[in-house]
Amino acid sequence: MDDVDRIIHEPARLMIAALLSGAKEADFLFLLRETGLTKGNLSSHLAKLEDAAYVEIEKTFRGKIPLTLVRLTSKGRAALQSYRKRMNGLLRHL
Amino acid sequence: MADIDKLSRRPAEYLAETGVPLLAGGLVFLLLGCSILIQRILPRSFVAQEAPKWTAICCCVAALWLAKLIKQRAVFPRGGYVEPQPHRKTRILVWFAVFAVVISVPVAGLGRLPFLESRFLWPAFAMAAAILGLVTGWRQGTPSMMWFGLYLICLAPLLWWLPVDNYERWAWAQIALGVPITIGGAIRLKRFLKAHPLPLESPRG
Repeated sequence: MDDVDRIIHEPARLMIAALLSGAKEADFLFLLRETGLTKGNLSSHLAKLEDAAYVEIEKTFRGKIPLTLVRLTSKGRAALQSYRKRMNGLLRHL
Repeated sequence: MADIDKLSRRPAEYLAETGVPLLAGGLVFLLLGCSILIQRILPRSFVAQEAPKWTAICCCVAALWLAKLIKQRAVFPRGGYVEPQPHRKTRILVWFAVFAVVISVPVAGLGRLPFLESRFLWPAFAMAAAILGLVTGWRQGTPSMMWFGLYLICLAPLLWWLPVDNYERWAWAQIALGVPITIGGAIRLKRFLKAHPLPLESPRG
């Protein structure tokens, strides 16, 4: 169980990564609505995923409204895949 | 533990829930069908025959542009913006459909294949679509898809009965498909807009 990726293993971050795996990119509002997290909570989880280079965050503007775009990187995608394999393997042995 | 597969399908499901793809698709069917019927009413001169076709194509492009505008102005500010990653299967299906259209157009134009003249062509198409709708509706547990399948089953004998040629039958089939799809899309969009009011302050992230 020690080799499980702790960054992805956290439920909120797993939810974010799984949502982003089905999207080319998504904005902060979409992730906020879908995860049900608070703004602060979502921001801190995204920052942790960004630190691990699992997501790419682009801050831009749509007209005068700030827009935060989030993308899952190839490293993040690979981490999610390997986490999934690892967890499936563990569950099979239970 | 979170259901990863279910969550990865959410971006595509979210856009489907907004009703915009249905609305645009239904409008395209409606416009193309109507253009054929208008063609039949007009005199058989070159301009009169070509004008409705090209007007319909321009209207279809306008409908797709309208769908994009609705997404940008009404949907994304309410529920958030997402660009779904197309699944491998979907991409293969889209390429297959494009290939089928590219192949079928010259075949239909050059050789007058007997099955294209058959009165059963469009009823058979409706029945095939009905079966697909019923099976998909049953598998995904979506009653609206099953109702659509039942509607197509009722439509098939009606298309067969229509006292017109196959080209016009095709137009009626497109209109009969376009009307419920457009209405379904509009209802979904209305529901979505009602359920997702504009946020009072912009999320900054």
